Amino acid sequence: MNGGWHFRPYGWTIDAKRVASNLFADNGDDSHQNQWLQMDGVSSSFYESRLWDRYTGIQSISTIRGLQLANANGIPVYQIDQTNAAALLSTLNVFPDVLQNVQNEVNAGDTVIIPRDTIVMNQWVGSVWIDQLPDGSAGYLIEGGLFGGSTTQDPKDRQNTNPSCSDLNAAFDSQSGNFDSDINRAVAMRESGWTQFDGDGDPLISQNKNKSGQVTSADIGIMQVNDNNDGQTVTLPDGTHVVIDQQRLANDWQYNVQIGSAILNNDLVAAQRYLQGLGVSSPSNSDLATVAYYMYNHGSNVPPGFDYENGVLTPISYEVGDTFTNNGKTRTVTQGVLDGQQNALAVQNILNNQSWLNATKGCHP
Amino acid sequence: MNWLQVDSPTAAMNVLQWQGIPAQFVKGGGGSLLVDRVWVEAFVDGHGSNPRWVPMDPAFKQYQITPASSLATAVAFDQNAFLNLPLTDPRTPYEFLASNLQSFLNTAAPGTAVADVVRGSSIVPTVFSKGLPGRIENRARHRSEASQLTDGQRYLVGVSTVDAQGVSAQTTFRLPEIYSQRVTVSFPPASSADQALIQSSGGYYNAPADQLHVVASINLSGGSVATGSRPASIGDGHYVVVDLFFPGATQPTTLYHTVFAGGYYGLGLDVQGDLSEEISARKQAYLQALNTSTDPTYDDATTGDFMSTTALVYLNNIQAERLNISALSSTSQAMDVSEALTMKNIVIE
Repeated sequence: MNGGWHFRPYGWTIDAKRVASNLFADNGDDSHQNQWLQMDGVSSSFYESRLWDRYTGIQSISTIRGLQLANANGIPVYQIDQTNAAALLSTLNVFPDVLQNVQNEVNAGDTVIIPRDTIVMNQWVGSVWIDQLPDGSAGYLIEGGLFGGSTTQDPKDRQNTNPSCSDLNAAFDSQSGNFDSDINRAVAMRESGWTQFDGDGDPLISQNKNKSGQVTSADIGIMQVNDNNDGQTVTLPDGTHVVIDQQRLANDWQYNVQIGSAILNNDLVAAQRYLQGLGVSSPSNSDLATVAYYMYNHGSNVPPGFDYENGVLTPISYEVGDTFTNNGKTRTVTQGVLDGQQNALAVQNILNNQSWLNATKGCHP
Repeated sequence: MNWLQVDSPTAAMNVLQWQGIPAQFVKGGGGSLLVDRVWVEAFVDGHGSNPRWVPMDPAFKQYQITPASSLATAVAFDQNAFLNLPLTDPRTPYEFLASNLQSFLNTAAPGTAVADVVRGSSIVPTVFSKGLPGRIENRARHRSEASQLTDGQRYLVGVSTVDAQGVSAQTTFRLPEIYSQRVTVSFPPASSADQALIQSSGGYYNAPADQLHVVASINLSGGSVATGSRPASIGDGHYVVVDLFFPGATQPTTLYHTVFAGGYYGLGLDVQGDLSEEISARKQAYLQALNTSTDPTYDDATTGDFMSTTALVYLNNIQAERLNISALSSTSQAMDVSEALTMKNIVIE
């Protein structure tokens, strides 16, 4: 890098100046419109911070987030109008430009909802407030005149650090459903080496390419959950349905483990059914993990990967170009199928040897 | 009224007037509405043995609407309670309201889910057993024909950059041209010498801020459509000005955003409809671009697409939340053009 002044990315902001929609009652009675508008405004502001939370992994400020933060920190939140302005304005502990704005808005007949004190979120210091106009509309403001949300931390300082190994182990235990949590450990070891963030603090994302070298999908985080799952619904071991959020997979390691484990759990159920179909009523953890990981790693659109030979789970012998039938369609065995079998055997090996105990891992001690 | 998904003339008038669409009652107080619309005719040569011009207007469709139950509004949104939720609570305002409503239903109407009490709406397909009709379904008063609309009859979006000396770059789009497209404002190098400086420094953000000169650029899907008339230094303040021209309006609605030379900015514009598919396709293109870009920190296919897509994601999320709110309250959502600018900010140090 050259000497002198330099510049670099510092964060992200959204400035939503016009969110133009309105709700009209089917029967023409719009007497409740102010109530709908209020909820609508809260939603708009809420999403301003959620956007960057999810996309950058950095806590973000918006009016609603700032008011929630003030309440969480015990800072009084005032509702100021012309009837109480004389008493309350003088007690505000905010920057002069904010005070001036609030004063002007109250003088104009508006009602302002604002924390008494300046609030702090990471490296961001300032005020947020709602300016409610007499006609029921409202502005959701943050210091600097923005109608939007901003990240609150220098990206180079972001706290995208890998979890401690003990926290991660606890997560594996809590998310494993009715199966041995060591299976989660083995799969995560194979997938990511128990790593959510790389050395730069960026989410660990591995790209999948087709034969032409084009990127077709990406695998994310500790459990390397494929991004094609974005928006899909997965069932957690406790029966709860969750819609998968790709950005959260990238930035929230606990969520990544939860979703990856749920997908694996469903594959384990399918593996159990498959092995029982082969006549083994109580398959070993090793066999379960092998077949389940073959599904986890390669999806369900593949031929069966394993069968028992003399009581030992063994890869079914295929050659590239063989055909098989799936859901009534004839498909061709690809190299990926053979790779999937080998990957599954690698997980079996990790599980049987508990290789994670002595391996270098992404989590920190 | 049905094609606006409302069931009263007053509601239909409210929807149309809020969007600035000329409409008037044919008879005082109710009954029919007279609305100015533009539709197209297509020449269908396979129309039986009689090829002819057939009117096409996809807006005129009928809906089957199931009103929300009175139970749907039994619980009001409690803003104060929402503001007191812990920061770790991931629920959106609608999800918060829906969970409160579900708790109420568990007592008031056991076995009833929120989905059972909200308003439902589905399109009723029209089957033409004898081929396409020769006239539009609604009664139409045919005022004029044109082979092409004038710009004054269109929704236009002006985008300009303004520095201390005035407008530096300016362009105007027709709204359909840029719907869900990548519209960005960036500050590429001002000259070949500046380009060389970036290359020799190892990338845009490695170049010395006090030597590099850049120029504002308004981009559509990666191509610059307007370039600033003068160079700027890194950190120089600009406005991105967005003018929304309604059809027939003489004055635009003007929106100002403060930006700085060296940052990257994505413009989101949303009219209506679920953008999820477009966003998903853009995601794939973004991943591919990341893999091939020589400077992914500052080019339009990577940084520009990220900025533009996040703006669209925001607007799409808002719209989805509103649809949920409208389903609870037996209301229709009328939308005009929404706009948001996302910013990749810089620091000079």
